[in-house]
Order: sequence, then structure tokens, then C-alpha cells
Amino acid sequence: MHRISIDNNIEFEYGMEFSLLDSIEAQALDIDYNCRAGFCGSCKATLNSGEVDLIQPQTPVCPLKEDEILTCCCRPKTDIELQFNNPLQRM
Amino acid sequence: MAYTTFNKKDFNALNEPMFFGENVNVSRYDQQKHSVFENLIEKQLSFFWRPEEVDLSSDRKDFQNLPEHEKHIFISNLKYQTLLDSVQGRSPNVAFLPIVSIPELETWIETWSFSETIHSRSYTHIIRNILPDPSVVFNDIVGNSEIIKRAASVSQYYDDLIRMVGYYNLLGEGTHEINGKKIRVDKRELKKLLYLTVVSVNVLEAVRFYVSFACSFAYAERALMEGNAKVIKLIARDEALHLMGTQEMIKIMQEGKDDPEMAEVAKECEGQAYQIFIDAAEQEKEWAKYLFKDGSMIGLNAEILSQYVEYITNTRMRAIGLKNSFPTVTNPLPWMNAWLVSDSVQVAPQEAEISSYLVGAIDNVVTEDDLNDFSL
Repeated sequence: MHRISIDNNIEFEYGMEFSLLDSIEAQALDIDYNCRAGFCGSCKATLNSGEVDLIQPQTPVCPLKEDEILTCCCRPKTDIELQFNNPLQRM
Repeated sequence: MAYTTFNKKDFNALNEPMFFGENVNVSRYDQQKHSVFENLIEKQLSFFWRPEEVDLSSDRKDFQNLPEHEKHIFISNLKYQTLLDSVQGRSPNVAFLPIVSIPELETWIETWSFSETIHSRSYTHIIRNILPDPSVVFNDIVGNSEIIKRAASVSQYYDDLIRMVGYYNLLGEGTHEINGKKIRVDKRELKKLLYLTVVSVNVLEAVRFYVSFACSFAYAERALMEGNAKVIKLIARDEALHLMGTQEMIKIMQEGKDDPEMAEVAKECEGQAYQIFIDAAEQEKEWAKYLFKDGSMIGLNAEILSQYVEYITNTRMRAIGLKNSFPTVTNPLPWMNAWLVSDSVQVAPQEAEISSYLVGAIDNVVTEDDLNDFSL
């Protein structure tokens, strides 16, 4: 199973959840979301390393930078490192 | 300063604050102070849908076969949604347009409010399709004490802001005597009222609506009222944009670059903002008890729905910089998320009709007459 690293701080294994967002939520981390459908951009993260597969189109209201992904739209393809603008906290 | 529909002053809208600056004159969208509102307009326009696009033919039979208590849950939920969208289809326009001062936000407000009227039209479409007399539902909204309780909290901030803005635009700041009463119009107080109104609108869309969505989707999870669920899916897609709009307004106000005074106001109002969320959550939990008073259904009861209220309220509070205020921090209704993803993702297609196939669809009923022209 692919390893997911968050903010150089938290690490866990991907548990075959529907999306990265679901996977992160399963860890009781306080990730933000609104639409879960790839257009609001709330669940955005920077992909520092690794590759992801797209499960739904990413068409956020505010355009993504080149290394940014929407966690509701992706699954890990390899081990990945994610960075959030506001580091995620355990709830 | 009296409101004017075409401000004849020569000024640069890029330097104006979101609210309480110069009345907007030229509606231009080639430049923005806050491009997020322009992006929201474009996205909402691209999402335009008509309720009649959604096939509700299987819902009528489903509804007739529901046990009485499940009919009560469904109809009460629909009455509440009708109330909310009735308010939202007019209030952003009436409350915010007289004080907005940048064109992209002015037009976002109109686009947002207009799209809420589409939601209202969709409730008429649903009710017409499942009941022989829609008046049975519509007429009970104002007469039902549980529903009217919700109306008071939902319209309170809007009504206060509309009244005070009316005085402000008519009479300006100062103390005025109106009908024998002394009314104090103060811009700082108006800004506090604006901030709290935007927070209460955010709560309406981001909490109250989502609790109602949970009820709608709970039926569809059992393959019942699936047409209704498709309508609600479209409504939820719009609401995600709308709540993003109020979140952005709040964050911009809190940041203070747009209007430094609003940052002070936001800090001053933080306690009241917490209270708006907490009070709404408590009302939603009370409402859940009313919904399920005659019995619950598979997948949802008052307890689980109350947990969802806590979870979603926590999520929305964090989104605007407030802290979790309830114990439930993980989603007790994970199946809801599947209803919110985009249509390009087919989740268990064998369990529901795929919505993209329904436009111009033929039915699959075959009788002997259909084979009359066939010969070997």
C-alpha cells in the first residue's frame, strides 16, 4: 500500500479509500473541503513528491499552480508527500 | 449618501472595498479587485440547470409506498428546504445590493440569488410530481409552528440589516427621530451587522442545507426517491459555490486588506459568530427530533443526524478560522460524500439510474404490439 506523508510530519498508509480526501479524513485530520467535486479548491494540497491518479476532473474556481492537486480528485499512484498551506492537525 | 443606480462620480472600482464604498456604476468584468467572485459567477453560470431536466417518474410511486412516518420526514424536509430557498432567492439581493461597492461582487450576489430561485422552482417540480395537490405542502409552511420557528432565526439578521441599511441610505449616519422613536445610524454598527449577517448566511447554506441534503440522500441510499436525490445533487453543487462565496467574503473581511475596519469588526464579533453557529446547530438538532418523532428510517435517525449536525458545523467553523465546538469530529454519514462527487464518477451505477442517460431517454417497457412488424 502506498505511503502518504503530510506536511513532513504525519505519515500513514493509503487504505484504498475513494479519494485522497477520504483517506486523510479517515486519519481524523482536519482537512477542509466544500464540494468534493473538484471545483471549490478547498481541499487543495501541494504534491511535493510522487504521482497521483485523477478520479474526477479538477476544475477549481481559483486555478491550481503546477504542483498543486485537489485531494478530492486524486488517488495515490506511488508513495506521495503532500504539503498544505495550513498544516493539518489531528482532531 | 442616497443610493444611486448609476454613480456619476469618476472613481476606480479597484480601490473600493467590498461594501460601504461607492455605489457601483459600470458593470465590467475585465478586471477585478477580488477575482474569486468573477470565477464564482463563471462557474455558477456553467452549472445552470432546469428542474425539468430531471426525471421524477419513479418518485411518485416510491412516495405513495412510503410508510406514513417516512412521508412525514420527506415532506417536512422539503418544506424546510422550500423555506430556506424562498429566503435565499430574494435576501442576498435585497440585503446586499444596496451596500455592495465592487462590480464582480454585485453580480455574484445577483447570480447567487437567481440560482436559489431555480432551487425553489425545483421544489415545486418535485411536489407537483409526487402529490396531487401541491397546496397541501406549500400552505402548511407558514401554518406549521416547527417550520415558522426556523423562519425566525433564518431571517432575523437579514431583516435587521435591511432595515438599518434602509435608514443609512435614506438618512445617513447620526441620530434620527422616526415615528417618535430615536434611531441611531452608525457605520461601525452597520459593519458589525453586515459581518454577522454574512456569517448567518454562511450557516444557512453550509450547515442547514447540508443537514437537509443528508435526509434527501438517505432515501436514495435505499433506492427510493431517486429523482429527488438527483435534484438535490444539483442543488448541492450550487450550494458548494454559494457557501464558498460567503466564506471568501468572511475571510476577506477578517484579513483587513479590503477594509481595515472590517478586521477589527470581525475580531469584535468573534464571540457572536461562534454563537450563531452553536445556536443554529442546536436548532437543527431540535428539528431532527421533530423529523423523526413518529419513527426513523434505515440509515438515519435523530441521533445520527444530530452527530452529522455537529460534524458539519465543526467543519464549517474551522473553514472561517473558528475552533471545533462539538465533540463529533468524524463524519457519521460517510455515504453522503458519494452524492457530492462530480457526475463523471460513476459510483455503483447498477444501484441507480445514471443521470446523464436520462435526457431524451426511452423507457424499457416492451409489449406484444411493439413486435407486430417483426417477422422471420
